[in-house]
Amino acid sequence: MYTKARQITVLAALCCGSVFAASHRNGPLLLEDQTANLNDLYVFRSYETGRSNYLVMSMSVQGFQNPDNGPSYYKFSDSVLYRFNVNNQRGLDGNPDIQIDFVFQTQLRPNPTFVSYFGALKGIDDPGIFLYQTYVVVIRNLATNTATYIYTDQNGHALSVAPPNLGPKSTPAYETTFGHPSVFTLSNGMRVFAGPRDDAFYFDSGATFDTLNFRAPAPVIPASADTNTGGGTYPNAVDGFAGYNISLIAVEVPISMVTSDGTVPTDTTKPDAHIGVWASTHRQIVTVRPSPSDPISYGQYVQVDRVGNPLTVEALIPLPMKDYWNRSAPAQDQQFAQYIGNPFFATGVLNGVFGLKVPPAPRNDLLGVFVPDITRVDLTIPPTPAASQNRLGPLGGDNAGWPFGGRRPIDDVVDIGFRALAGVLVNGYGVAPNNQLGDGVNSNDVPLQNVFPFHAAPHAGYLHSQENGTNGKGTATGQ
Amino acid sequence: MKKLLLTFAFVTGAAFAQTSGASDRLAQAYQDRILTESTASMKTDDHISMYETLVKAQPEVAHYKNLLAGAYIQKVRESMDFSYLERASQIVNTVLSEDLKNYEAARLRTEIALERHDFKKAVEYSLALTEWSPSDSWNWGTLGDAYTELGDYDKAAEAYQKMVSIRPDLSSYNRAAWFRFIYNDPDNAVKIMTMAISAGSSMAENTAWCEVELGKILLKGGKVKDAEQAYRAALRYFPNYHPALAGLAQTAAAEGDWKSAVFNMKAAQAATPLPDYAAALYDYYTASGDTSAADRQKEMIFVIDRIGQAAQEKANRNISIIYSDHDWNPARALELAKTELEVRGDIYTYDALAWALYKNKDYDGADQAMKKAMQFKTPEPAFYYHAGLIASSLGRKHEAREMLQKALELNPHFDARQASVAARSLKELS
Repeated sequence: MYTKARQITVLAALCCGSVFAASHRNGPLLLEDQTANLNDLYVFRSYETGRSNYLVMSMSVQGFQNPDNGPSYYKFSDSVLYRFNVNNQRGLDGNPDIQIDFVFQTQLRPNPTFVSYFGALKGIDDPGIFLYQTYVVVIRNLATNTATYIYTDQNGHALSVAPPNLGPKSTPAYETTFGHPSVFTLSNGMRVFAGPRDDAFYFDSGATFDTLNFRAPAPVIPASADTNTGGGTYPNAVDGFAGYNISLIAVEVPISMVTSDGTVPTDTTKPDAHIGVWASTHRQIVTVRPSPSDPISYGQYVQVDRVGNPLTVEALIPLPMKDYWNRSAPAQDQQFAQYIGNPFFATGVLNGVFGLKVPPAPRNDLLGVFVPDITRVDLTIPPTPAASQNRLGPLGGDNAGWPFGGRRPIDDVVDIGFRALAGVLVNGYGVAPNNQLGDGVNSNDVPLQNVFPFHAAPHAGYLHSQENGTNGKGTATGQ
Repeated sequence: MKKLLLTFAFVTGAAFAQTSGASDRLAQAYQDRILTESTASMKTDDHISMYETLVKAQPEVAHYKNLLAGAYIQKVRESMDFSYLERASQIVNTVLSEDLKNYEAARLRTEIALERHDFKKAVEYSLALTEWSPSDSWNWGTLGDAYTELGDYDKAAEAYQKMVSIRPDLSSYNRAAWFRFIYNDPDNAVKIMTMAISAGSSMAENTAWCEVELGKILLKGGKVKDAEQAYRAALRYFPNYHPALAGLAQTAAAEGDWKSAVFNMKAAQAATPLPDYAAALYDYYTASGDTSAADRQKEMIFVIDRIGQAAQEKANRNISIIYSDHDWNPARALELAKTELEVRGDIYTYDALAWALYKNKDYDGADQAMKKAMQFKTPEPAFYYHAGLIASSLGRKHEAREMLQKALELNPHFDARQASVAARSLKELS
């Protein structure tokens, strides 16, 4: 019972120390922009059988998705333009030459329930999917100033986002029934996918967050745990991303579509043999107050976030410059070099705490990778078959991985990053223990796929558990 | 995002808070990201607990203090408990007393000035910050907010346009949407507010707030069912959100469902006992014949006013409107509206003043104030209703009819009590 005395007490508390709520319109001011934030970018030559002349690009958004977060689960934002940018000329200066955009539209079917998905669903067009999204793919060639809009696949089917993996009753045989059918082949030979997937990122985040409380023997990994090609995690380590999903946008394009001369390059010394890729998100400007002289209501799209390498520089940018950074193109990144060329992690942590000898600043080896912040791909490096891939990429003798051959889902960017920051790419620093650093998590929690879109199927909501700290770890996906 | 660096960030921050200069800045930048990401799904109380722990553990780190102050301000948004604002203010003052160039704290100081309705100071702070960092959309947002409250709509539009051009997101879209409504463009207001909702926020309350704003715009335009959906969506984002519950009550009242209206408005009042909610309950109880319950709500409004007076509160247009609506204490209504005008000069304050002047039989004064309230032809049914009665009192019957018709066209049930007065007045004029 809400008594009058209690009400008055509350009123007095509300009044204390300030004017009483003669309201003003206090619109929220954001510290973090959830839907436009990009998590990771993957770019690599396809290692799917018979597809080596294709380039795969994928971006993940909305990380740490709980698989059981019904009833509506996670959507792409209808107001965000998601973009892959390809730079294939001018020595990879960080300006785009080709852009591939994804724009989403939420669709509703008649819904007699309060949930977004109901019943045993039989496919991606099942009428029990009450809420779904379709998307448009726009390919822009900035050299020719042409744009191609693609709304359907080669069979006329609308490009639609894969539904969430609810569980064995609602979405049985998920990958066969929903995952693979959501890969669409376009009339120009491209393939596209958008939808939930397992987060391919793996890392002992918990140990690191606990003030560098690495689980032994990390952060120096013995050879016995360091020689595998991606299978296995050091017994004590825990993948903090296990059991979580992300939303993935993936595209597979013929390599000839992204090179400046329209060929599949074979000579690494030729300018067209290399491309740089980054992902970005954009939203549309609106006119706040229309006037006869400026009647436009909805204007151009502006960039609100971007990601190139897994070791992004965004976190290095001071707060007053963040919006500026997010709006800028990688071509302008030289101005941020002062924040990148002397990473504190190397001097303060690796040297200061662990006593490692690291190269002195300025770290031109890092600037070469991160300025401009684009993922570079040498298109002449043949893809390594899935079974032979090394999680350490070039550091493990597998040049088709990050940072030379792009970035693949298997690439252990944490261990590569630790070692790169310790200077293993600089003469004289590729020695123990610099070249043995790692977090102890050497592979993803579930097997990656060797077919497009390569990320594993999303974890099922029904099977998800956070009890006993399992967080779904080890749970098979695709059920 | 870019999780690896976030981890580095945490490492850097947690282990090496004693750094200085550029490295310290890097540590702060790292920590900002990692903390925001790792707390994205937390409730505000959990944010507060976490930041309080961090501040205790590392009191020398100003960044943690600023995060705590920001969480306190968020708590004010959610609960209207202004004791949190005082706590935030003390923290920000401490940080700025130690480092006048602390940018984060300077931004928070502006927000606190806005919450305290010190709009002139908010303009001053925001202008300084726009010079400090013209590329930070936040500063243009607070500048636009302050100018809007002061009634300087030209400068507000300019600031908001810069804000949305720098960064289109929930923050800037919702402001643009409201401006569209002010400027009599409700259709685009709805579209842009929908874009704000779609843009979303890691703070559930932020998205819920935009859903409520969407509901308000729809309800003012008579789209009761659509408004109800928006309010329900707000409650899904942020359960027990008092403005959403109040909105649901208003949609029920618009359909004559007094039982639901009372139920939801009581829930809103239980969460936050605003005078507006008590006034609405008074109307609902009166309409449903429960005069004793209505009287208790009336008594509460007077208690709220007395507490306000004890706290030296002189300006409160909400209570002014309530008094004028119900013909209670017209002199106090006028006093509250006039003193509000000393603080801000937006169209809503002029409307409150016009309504209070009308109730005090100063029809010419009311007419002048109403013209200022109606300068953009904002599709507020109450504005047209007030304008109609004021025109009628001055013998401008044709104009009075037009205004009252417009109020009822926008929403024939725009207010549980006043809509019927509008309809009756229109009938008498015809």
